[in-house]
Amino acid sequence: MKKLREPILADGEVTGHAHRLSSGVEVFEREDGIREFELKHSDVLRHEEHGPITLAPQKYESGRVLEYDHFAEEAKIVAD
Amino acid sequence: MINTLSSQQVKKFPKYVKKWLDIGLSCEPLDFEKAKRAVKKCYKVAGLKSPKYFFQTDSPFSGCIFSYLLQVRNQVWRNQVSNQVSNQVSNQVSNQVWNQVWNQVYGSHESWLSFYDFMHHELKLDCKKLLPLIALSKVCGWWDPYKNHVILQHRHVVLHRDFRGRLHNECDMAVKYRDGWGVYALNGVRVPEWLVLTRAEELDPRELGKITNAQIRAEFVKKVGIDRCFYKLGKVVDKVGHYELGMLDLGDDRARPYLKMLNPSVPDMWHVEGVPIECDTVEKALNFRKPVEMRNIPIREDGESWYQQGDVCVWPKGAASLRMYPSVLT
Repeated sequence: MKKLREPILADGEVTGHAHRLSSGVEVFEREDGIREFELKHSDVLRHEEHGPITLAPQKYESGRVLEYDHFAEEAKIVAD
Repeated sequence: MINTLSSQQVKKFPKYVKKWLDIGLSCEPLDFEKAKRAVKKCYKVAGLKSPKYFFQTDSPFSGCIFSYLLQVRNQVWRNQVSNQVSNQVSNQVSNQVWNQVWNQVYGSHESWLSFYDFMHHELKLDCKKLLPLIALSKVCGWWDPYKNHVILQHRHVVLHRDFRGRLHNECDMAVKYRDGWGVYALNGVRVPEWLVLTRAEELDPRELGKITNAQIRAEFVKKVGIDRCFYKLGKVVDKVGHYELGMLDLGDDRARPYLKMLNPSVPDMWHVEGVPIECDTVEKALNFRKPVEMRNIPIREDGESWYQQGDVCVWPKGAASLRMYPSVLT
């Protein structure tokens, strides 16, 4: 598992936006791409375009949704 | 130690916000002489010898190419090889130039300097070492610092934004530099040139499935219209709330399932995303979309809550079961 430099759960390729927790929260990325973090206090997940989500203190995992590319005939993580 | 700001200090925030927005959005040309003076001071603060040569280019793109050519040119003359290396140069420039972007310093776009500008002038904290960088940001676009030379770039000549301040231009580039290079963008999303320059009625909705980026795809749907992109390409087979599952023919006489979703945070933004052929209900389609690790967790009515913000799902680590739908979706 590697510790990420910033508390970001995902960032957008074409918008420069990011799903971000407060600085000080440590986010780790597993080899399967899933990110883990633990909140000692309540925190807010923010994004420039989406509404904020308040998260209670506990351990979490996060991942990105999938879509199916019918032309490539494969499932893949949604790229935005 | 400073623990709080006074109300007087806080009242000055808008002044600094405006100042640094004006710096970042400025389309003024590079002031070469002032920039050179500022760069020399930056090097001095860093304890480095002042560079000998200063060059100017018209955009980050030409800055990258020039930077790369300067490096490759040094190699060429050292190795004294002609034709083969020239061919390699042209191939390598096109492949490598985008990597060079990340070596650049962002000049007038270094918005983080606003923090130190405020600290220095309002809280009287000693941020003198950053003053040359602040001075440079006011007169220069991006720039490339090297040991013996510096490449200074002009700022953009044109910048278009929508009423929310996002890069947006429905007729031409949203950001344009004097050499013609620039960026096309709609509603803050960087999009390919054809999506801006092609009229909506000339866009073929069947191209939807070939767009691999979800945000660009949403902009395509917005421009073409959800009616042409979804309802006219096939039929709806299931509907739950704002979600609709449609079997769409994207031009090869084969009907494939696509899930249409309303963005809960952005008004009138629809997403149309493919799901596997075995998804014949909205519920199956939504379940497919979850990250694989989540799909392995049993679904129960009294399962633990999970959350979705855009394309990111967050769930409790070690959850024995989860609810079917996110407790909060934004």
